[in-house]
Amino acid sequence: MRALIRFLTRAPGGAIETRERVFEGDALTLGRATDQVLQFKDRRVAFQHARVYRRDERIVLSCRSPATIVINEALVRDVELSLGDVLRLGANILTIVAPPAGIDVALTFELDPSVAGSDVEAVDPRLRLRSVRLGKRGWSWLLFLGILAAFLVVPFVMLSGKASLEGLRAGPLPCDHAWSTGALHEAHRTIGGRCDACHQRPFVRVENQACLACHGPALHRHASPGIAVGADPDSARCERCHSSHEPALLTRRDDALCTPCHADLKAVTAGRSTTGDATDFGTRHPQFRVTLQVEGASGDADRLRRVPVDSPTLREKSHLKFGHAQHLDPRGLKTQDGTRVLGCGDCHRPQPGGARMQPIVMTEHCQGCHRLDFDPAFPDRQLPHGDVAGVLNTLLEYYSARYLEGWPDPAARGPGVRFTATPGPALAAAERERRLGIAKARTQIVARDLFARRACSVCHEVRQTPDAVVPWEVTPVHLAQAWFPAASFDHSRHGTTLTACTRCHAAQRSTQADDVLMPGIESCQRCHAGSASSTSGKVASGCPACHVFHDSRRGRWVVPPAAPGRAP
Amino acid sequence: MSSVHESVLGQMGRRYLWLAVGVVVAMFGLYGWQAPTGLPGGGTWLGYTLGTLAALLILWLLALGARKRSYASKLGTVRGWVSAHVYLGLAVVPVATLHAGFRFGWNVHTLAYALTCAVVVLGIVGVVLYARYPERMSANRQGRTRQQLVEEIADLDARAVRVAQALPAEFDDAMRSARDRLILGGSAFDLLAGRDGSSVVLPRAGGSSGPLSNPYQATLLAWLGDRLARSEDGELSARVQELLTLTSAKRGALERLKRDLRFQAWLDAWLYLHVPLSFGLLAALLAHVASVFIYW
Repeated sequence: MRALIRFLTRAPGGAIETRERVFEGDALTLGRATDQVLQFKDRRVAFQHARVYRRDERIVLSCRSPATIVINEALVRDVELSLGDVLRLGANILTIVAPPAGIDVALTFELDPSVAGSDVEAVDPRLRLRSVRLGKRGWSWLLFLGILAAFLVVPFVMLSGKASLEGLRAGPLPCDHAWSTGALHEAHRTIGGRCDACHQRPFVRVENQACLACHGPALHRHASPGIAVGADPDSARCERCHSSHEPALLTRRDDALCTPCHADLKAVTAGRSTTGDATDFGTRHPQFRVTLQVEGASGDADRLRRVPVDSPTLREKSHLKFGHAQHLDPRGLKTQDGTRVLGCGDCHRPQPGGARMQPIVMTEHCQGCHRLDFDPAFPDRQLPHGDVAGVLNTLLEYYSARYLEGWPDPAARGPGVRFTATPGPALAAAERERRLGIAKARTQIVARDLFARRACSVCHEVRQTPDAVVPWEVTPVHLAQAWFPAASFDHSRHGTTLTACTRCHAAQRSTQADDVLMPGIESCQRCHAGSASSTSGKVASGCPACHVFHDSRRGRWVVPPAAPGRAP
Repeated sequence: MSSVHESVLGQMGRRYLWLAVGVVVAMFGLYGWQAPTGLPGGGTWLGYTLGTLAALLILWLLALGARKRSYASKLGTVRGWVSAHVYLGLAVVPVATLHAGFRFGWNVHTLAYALTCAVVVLGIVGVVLYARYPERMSANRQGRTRQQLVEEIADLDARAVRVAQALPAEFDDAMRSARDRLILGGSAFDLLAGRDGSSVVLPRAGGSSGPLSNPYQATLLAWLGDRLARSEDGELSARVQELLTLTSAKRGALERLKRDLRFQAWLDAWLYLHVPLSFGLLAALLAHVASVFIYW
């Protein structure tokens, strides 16, 4: 398409200056942008306002929506141009005139003198960034309101409704997960993204109920009933020690967990605690105290007394006669099977897991040597252990059988069993009585020998009683199973050549069963120091290395009453 | 360094420099001294202290925007505020880092931290730009104002159009088109990159071209050169030579102006990010503080 554009400029005197330009191309474009063929310096004109092109044999004008143009005083968007049409675009007048030969369309272009020129030429050169529609204010508001809405207002409003909160979490928008300060510990993965499972009430710190809802049945309290956890009301909060959003610290293992109270336990418990103060294992920790049963108490866990290992009065009333030194004689012990040298492990065997030792049981650990046989003729025949009446019955049965061997008693038959007389001579009743009498006498003699001299009294305290049937009494044995029940010590973790049994337990020098062979704190301090002593060349051991907080010997954990002045 | 810049960050700002250094050193000292129970972070007593300090600093830094606009204020000079803004603004990043305990994640808390860092980095960009560009701008303008540079170009255009009036119509058309289609500023990109988006419509055999890109009048100069080479008329050649000289002068003036606009655009640009991001930071800070206490 070839187009002729005739620019008309009216001089003040009325003379008209004319310039012509011929355009050749697909379409004549009109607009304010610089890439337009006819550029209008007029704000009322769009950047790409309209185009004039040839469709078949006609010349048409088409505006780019939403722009429109006034043609012959009518507002149009798409129109076929014909001769004499007057187009008004802003302050410009375009008139379609007769085209000369070889030209498809011709138009004149002039400024409308009747239109105020304020908008013409007023397209200011955009010399500064502020003039190119780059605002600070708009972006500031957008960012401020956008971030505030996405990260605070919307999630907070959604908190009120469970369904809406779930919906927000499932969607792509930021939800309350953006508030998380860190991933949960693996053990808490089942909570998933339900923040409100623990953060139950806004602006209230996570309450213990939230923890106890799951952990309640298995959780024990720390101190004994009646002793406050601490003066700090915060110390009763689970979260004080368990930082859920710090996986490495879900369970705190630093001394600062304990020392705020244990630095001065008397003050914290108003004088009720008898436990010594401790702040550091290496420098400030009380001597170990072994837990012993109170004499005469019947296994009641509360009736225990605790005695420091360095106390001169420390004796364990086990009512047993035993000397470690004799048994560990390096020259060996004479046994039925020859001379044997005993080691610790011959009697003290670790429990499964290896932490503690199995209880010493006579039949397992002693009877191999301390046999309970009573008739040299039958050395394999042994008495039951731990039952005085049973011993007497066994002896009586044994000797009766021996003296009446071959003479069954026709009267002694079980119910429903018919006695069939065997051929041969029968024992007269008087003779039978005589033989039974001998058996009883024999039983008495052997029993006295066993109880008072040979077998029982070797290890036990045996007393004679006036009881006619069971005339002996063996004092029950109390062997402590856990000397330090509150401490977690693991033998298996100390099973090195540096830590032979005798390094901590002075068994070679112990001649009395009453000796308590538990080591004192000095023994541990040879290798262990407090957690702050990383430079001492020793193992840095904080409180939790040996102690637990939730003590299974105490009662169940209960929600402590809210301290006054705190949120309800 | 320009003298204006020196007075803001130099002599006058020295006391704020020492204040900022003092605050940062004190906070690092406290951080090293304290033994947090658990990991360091916003939840410890020092964490709350550092967080409060950082938040107050940020609010005060934002107040510069208000102080700048209130010309009647007697609350210190704007210069004093700017130097304090720069030095205490730099102090915010270490304080916020200690507040975070060097721990970060994909959450609103780190968003606030990241925005803080972005705003401070943009502030540093601004300080550097203001340290370098004003001097280069005055060297470029050589004592003239921007308006004088614009007028010089307009004057050269007017002279060229007058010369072309006496020549064949194609020269008249070309020079008018080059005048009308000259773009001094342009889009944000044009301003920042110094790109010239001017165009020109040149006569062609049998009509005229569509608009041709005419960066720094290069297309027009080539066309004039071509016409000069083809001219066999001595008088015409002399006139075309005059047009070439005028257009070359226009090109020089245009380059100078565009360079001036580019410096100006960069001096403006960092603030177009610094300010909106500051408000984004304020929102993130509010969300950070509120969310911490909502999910206490």
